[in-house]
Amino acid sequence: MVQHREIVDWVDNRLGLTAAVLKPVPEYSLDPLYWLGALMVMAFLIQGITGLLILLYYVPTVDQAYVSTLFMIEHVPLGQLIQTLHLYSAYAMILLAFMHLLRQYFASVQKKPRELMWVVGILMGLVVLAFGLTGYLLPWTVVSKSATDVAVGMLGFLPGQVGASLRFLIAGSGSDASELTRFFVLHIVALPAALLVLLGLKMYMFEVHGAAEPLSGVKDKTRILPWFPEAFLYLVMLSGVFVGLLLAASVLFPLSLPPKFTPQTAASYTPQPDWYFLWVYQILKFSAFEGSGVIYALTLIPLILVVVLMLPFYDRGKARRISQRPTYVTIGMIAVAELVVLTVWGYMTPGQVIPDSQAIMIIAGTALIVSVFAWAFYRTRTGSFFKPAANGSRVKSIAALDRFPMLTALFSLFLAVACVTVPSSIRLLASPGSHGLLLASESILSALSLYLMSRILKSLVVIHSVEVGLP
Amino acid sequence: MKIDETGIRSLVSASLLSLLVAVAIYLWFVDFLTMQREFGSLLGAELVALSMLVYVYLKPSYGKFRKAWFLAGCLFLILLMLLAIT
Repeated sequence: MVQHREIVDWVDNRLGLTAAVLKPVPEYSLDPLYWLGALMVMAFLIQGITGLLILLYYVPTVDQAYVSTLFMIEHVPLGQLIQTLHLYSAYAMILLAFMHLLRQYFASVQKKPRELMWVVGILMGLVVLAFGLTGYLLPWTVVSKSATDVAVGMLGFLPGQVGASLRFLIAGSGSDASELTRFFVLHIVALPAALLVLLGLKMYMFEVHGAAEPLSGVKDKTRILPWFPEAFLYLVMLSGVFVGLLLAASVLFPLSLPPKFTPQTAASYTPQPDWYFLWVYQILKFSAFEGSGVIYALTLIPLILVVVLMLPFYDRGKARRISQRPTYVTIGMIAVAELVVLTVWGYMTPGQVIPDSQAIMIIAGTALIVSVFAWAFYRTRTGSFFKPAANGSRVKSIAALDRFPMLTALFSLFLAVACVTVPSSIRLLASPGSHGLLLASESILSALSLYLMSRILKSLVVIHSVEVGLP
Repeated sequence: MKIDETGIRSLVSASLLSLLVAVAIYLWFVDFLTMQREFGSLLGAELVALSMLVYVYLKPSYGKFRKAWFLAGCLFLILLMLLAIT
């Protein structure tokens, strides 16, 4: 320990790290969930370093973009590793941004006084997605160019001069060369600059407000650790494992370039975006949004973003615990479930137009299933969904299902039957004449399953005293 | 046997440090063009070993040392080394 102190003091006397750089951190913040944002910055650093190395070889012209990327992968020392690491660190950045957002949302970190941190964070997330969109085109593969063409083409559906102006801003005059040049400049100059400014703002606000307290509360608020060496070494430790994971993934699944974009190769290929835009892609494939209806989708998606952006200004209650925020937690769970469902669904149905009835059934069904689970969860833990009972009061509620494995198994069985028969009955209702018998049997099965599920839930009703032991 | 017991922490730290140095020297001689897989795996191993060293060195100063985390690190290290030689 003496040696440890000596090293720290030696470094600190020369660089003044404990006094000048970042504030001391509370002990509870030395938890990986508090460092998702920092890991995102680490991924951004890797992006910067590998991006600079790629720039040594990459030529941003229509003729050379693909050839220079392929040359780097096949002939440049560590070229394939650098390209793969650049791609995977971009994926990691998007994933970490999403996890960071979810953590902030479910832990109510966005509430007073951190509202603007949330707004800046969402803007940073959008910039990260823009990085993905612009970087995707640069290798000029059939996959990337086709998907980008679809995205840019959709801007033309925006009303008045908005669409044309946005299209000109992003893709230039319409030629391939101007599109590639603009995406390249956006990717290596405009977006990094925007992200750095937003990062500076967020870091400043973080230094002002500090790390939010955990939902379980803090036993000893006096336990503060200096940023250097404790927090710094903690970051080194997490970053080491994070970069190690990225390297392992890069070695196990190295990047292989799809064919070069030409009109001939594009003709035999169904455009599909990268995984992080699949949910948008799937929404755009709903038949209601086909053709001129795309304007509704182009209005709906920014509207969702505005609702998310403005969250801290309407979710202003003081309650932070999950057990005290049933509505917002359920909405959050539905949003995550819809996002996952749309992404998987989009991946599995490339190029297929989705009928509206099917879209409504899947979207509404997912929301319904998550809501039922959330309702059951809050009923078993806090007595009521809409107005959780006070700690210690006696309430009538459903016993935790895990205490009754047989009944739980039966409940799950009937739930599975209902999940199949209810949507199928609704679908058959559209043409009752041709499948009368099937419709009747499925309707009976649905009703029976729902009835038995309600009986099981009724048998599990117990009177107990509320213990808000949840975070 | 606890990590804080006399000698164990120093021994683990010294072993990790030796591994770090040995891998760093080896990496210096790896052919970048033909041995990208080895280079990537060993660089990953180097970083994971550094993380483990920091964990062993830092953890007792503010919290409880968790063997499970340390073992997970060891397994990951072994996986990366195996990736390098296969």
